[in-house]
Amino acid sequence: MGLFDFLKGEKDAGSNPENAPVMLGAPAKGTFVAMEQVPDEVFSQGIMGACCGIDPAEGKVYAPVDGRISQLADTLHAVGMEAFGMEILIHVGVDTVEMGGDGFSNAAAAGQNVKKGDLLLTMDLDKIRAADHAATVIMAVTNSDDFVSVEAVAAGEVSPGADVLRVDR
Amino acid sequence: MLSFTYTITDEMGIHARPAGLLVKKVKELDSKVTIRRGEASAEGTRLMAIMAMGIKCKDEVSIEVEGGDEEASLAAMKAFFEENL
Repeated sequence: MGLFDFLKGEKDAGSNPENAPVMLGAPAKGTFVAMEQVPDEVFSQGIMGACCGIDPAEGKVYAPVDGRISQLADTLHAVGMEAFGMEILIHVGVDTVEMGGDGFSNAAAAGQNVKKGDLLLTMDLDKIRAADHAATVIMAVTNSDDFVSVEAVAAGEVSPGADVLRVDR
Repeated sequence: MLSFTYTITDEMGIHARPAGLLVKKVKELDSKVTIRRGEASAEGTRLMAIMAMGIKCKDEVSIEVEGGDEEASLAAMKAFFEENL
């Protein structure tokens, strides 16, 4: 994990916090999925902004960074956050909008300020699979065009909060 | 400025996927695009702002295009809404 350590070190060395890179933590426990491998083309092609996924090992979604909940879909499968000028979309599963909220429950409300690691929502992974949807927790920086770069910095198994995307401002 | 009104027929409304496709289309145009529903509005390039409008099936929205080749942009937006929403 030499690369990982290097990035962490660079982050800590940021002398100007205004411009320092922001690390986004894994929004769930599971297996890291690179943008190109996210099983939904609007995400894998970058149409929703730079993103990554987590193939979840448990049905819990956590805040990837300190920020504010800007919106929560009525169907509870998607959460929007604002943090450090980023607009972050956390979308649970592929085409799960069709589930109409069944199997999803929110632990945070729109307008609420949250800390990295706070529980945002829970989902029933068995129900998502039974509905024949991929359960991939997708995290996109929807305004990634406004930033210098958004880079994936993870691979393999990750714990909630582990650095997965590095956003250079 | 040119505009048209459209009533959403997709039963899921403008959720993440169509919002993303809409933004992609708007970015291809040389006009500024604004989506309105009643008092609420969002710029056509702002994905999260569009999603936050929570536009549902049967909602009437108006789409405004301003600057650039407005007629071409209007036609592209009409085609997008009719095909996707």
